[in-house]
Amino acid sequence: MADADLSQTVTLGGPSVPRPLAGRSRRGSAAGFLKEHLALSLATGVFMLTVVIAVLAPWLPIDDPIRGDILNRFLSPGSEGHILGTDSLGRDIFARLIWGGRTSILVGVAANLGVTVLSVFFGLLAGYLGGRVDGVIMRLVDVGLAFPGLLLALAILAILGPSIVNMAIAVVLSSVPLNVRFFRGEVLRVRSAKFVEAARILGYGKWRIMFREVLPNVMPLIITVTALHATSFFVFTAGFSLLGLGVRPPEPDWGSMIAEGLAAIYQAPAVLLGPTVLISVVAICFNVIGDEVQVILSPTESQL
Amino acid sequence: MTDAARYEPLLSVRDLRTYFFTRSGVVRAVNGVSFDVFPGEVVGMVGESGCGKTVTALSVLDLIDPPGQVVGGEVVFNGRDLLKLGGRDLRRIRGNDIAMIFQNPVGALNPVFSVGRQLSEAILAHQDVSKQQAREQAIQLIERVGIPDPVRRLRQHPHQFSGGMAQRVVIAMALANQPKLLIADEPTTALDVTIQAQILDLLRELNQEYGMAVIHITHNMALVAESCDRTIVMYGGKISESGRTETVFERPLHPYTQALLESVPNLEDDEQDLVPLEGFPPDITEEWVGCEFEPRCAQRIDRCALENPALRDAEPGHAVRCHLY
Repeated sequence: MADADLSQTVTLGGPSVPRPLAGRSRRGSAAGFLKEHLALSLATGVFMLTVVIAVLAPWLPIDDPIRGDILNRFLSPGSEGHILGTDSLGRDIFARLIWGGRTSILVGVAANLGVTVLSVFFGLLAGYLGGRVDGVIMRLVDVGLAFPGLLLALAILAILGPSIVNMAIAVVLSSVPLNVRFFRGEVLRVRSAKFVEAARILGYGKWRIMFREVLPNVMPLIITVTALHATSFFVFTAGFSLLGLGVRPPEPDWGSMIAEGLAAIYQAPAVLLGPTVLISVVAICFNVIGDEVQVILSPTESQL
Repeated sequence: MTDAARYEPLLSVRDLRTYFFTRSGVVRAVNGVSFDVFPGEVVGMVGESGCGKTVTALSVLDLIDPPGQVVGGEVVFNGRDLLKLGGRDLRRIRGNDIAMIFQNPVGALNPVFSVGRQLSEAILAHQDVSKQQAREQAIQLIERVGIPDPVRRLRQHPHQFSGGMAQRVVIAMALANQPKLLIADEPTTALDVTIQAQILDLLRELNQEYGMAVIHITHNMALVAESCDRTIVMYGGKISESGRTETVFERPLHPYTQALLESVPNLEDDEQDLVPLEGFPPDITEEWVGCEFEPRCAQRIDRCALENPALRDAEPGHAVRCHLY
């Protein structure tokens, strides 16, 4: 009931500090909603399109991304049968871009989901319960933060061995500590609000207060941080593949394509440019989605 | 009102001690407070900021967080010591048998949920009813506390309510499960005077209608005189005087109570000068040898600096903590 109303009603005033009655009005029907949040609709549309294309890759009329035609290497974009040309082994760049998107997006989204769920959970526990729970979680976080993120991820990958799944695990484990810190801070802020005390006086249990009173108020930060991660995880996984620790050749993936493209930047610039442009586009989409959703959900942000 | 003394007390607080263990020392916020609240009675708890009123109220609900701790005493409600209950049993009493409202009503509501949802959830948490029934009850409650257009208002979020209207919502939430005791912690301090009067009238009506006991915490003496059956005056974490409101206001015994009353403007007698109370509340991080009020007291005697007085009955039903009596 409340969720549907959020977009339309959160216009004025903050949670505790009453703010002046100024700000953007966000009223209207579902169609009006799309029109008003044009950037959000566009970004979501582009991202969904990318996902759909990646998912449908096996059924699309494109070339095999792995088997190359060595006689037709470095064909320039626009050649017959190869829209974006071919790479150093004569593989179709367009096909590799689409297949590569499958891995990149899957790892990016899965890692992001994993990081967010774990960090929010432990951040809530540490921030809300405090005391010994907080102590144990935060000391573990300190241990995690003592290692540089990339080094930690590399160490994990070195132990587990290079693979797509291990790459996701490495990204998750190396990013969780810092994010637990973020969310714990926000939980501490929300927890001191009067409505949390009011909830305790109403006889609500601690789990209920954590997940149903505090969590919704931490949501704006969660969305912002998640959107930010979307960008950095693409770059992160691309980096691993570039170092040869993620996706093993000849499997395509945007990161490893950039690595290959660097070596052949003059003969076939499309190998480098294709994934670079796609990573940028998806990253921008995520950021726009994150920003817009945050504005819609947060009663305070909506009128800043 | 009813002759409260004939009944068993609803709430009986005995020698309650709540200390805060801070870096700069142990703050004895509540230091040996004992009082009773009888069914249907309105008890006013007055004193200046930092005298331990709010901490007393939160201790009653066992809601003190570290570094604070209830270090001693008991809080017997309906024959059960709330400080020993814990867990589920205690949560069944909070919000159901004892409710509380605050100074900042807008802040007491969760900003991201509609008022109707919060009200329904308060009902569903303690009553075995369907969502639909909870919603109907919510509408009735909102109507009862005097908010016009309840159906539309329930769909709105807390920031769309003015302070007075938000306080009505908070009162509706507190009433949702027909509590036996309502703790009102400065419920009108943040509201303007006309709204204050409306909220006070509403609280009095509800007290009479439901027979709900009220502990009214305030620093406003006039408000106590007007609406409370009994008055408890607190100073430095202890009760300095308590008794029936008429008695306390007609024959204030404790020099602190007298000073408080002299510092309230009297509309009928504008010749009388206001007498400000000099000095500051005591530093309660140290255990006082003498009386906490001694440094500010105009009637102090030698004994006051040497010995902490005990609370005793100066006359039946009128207790005072002072060496003069």
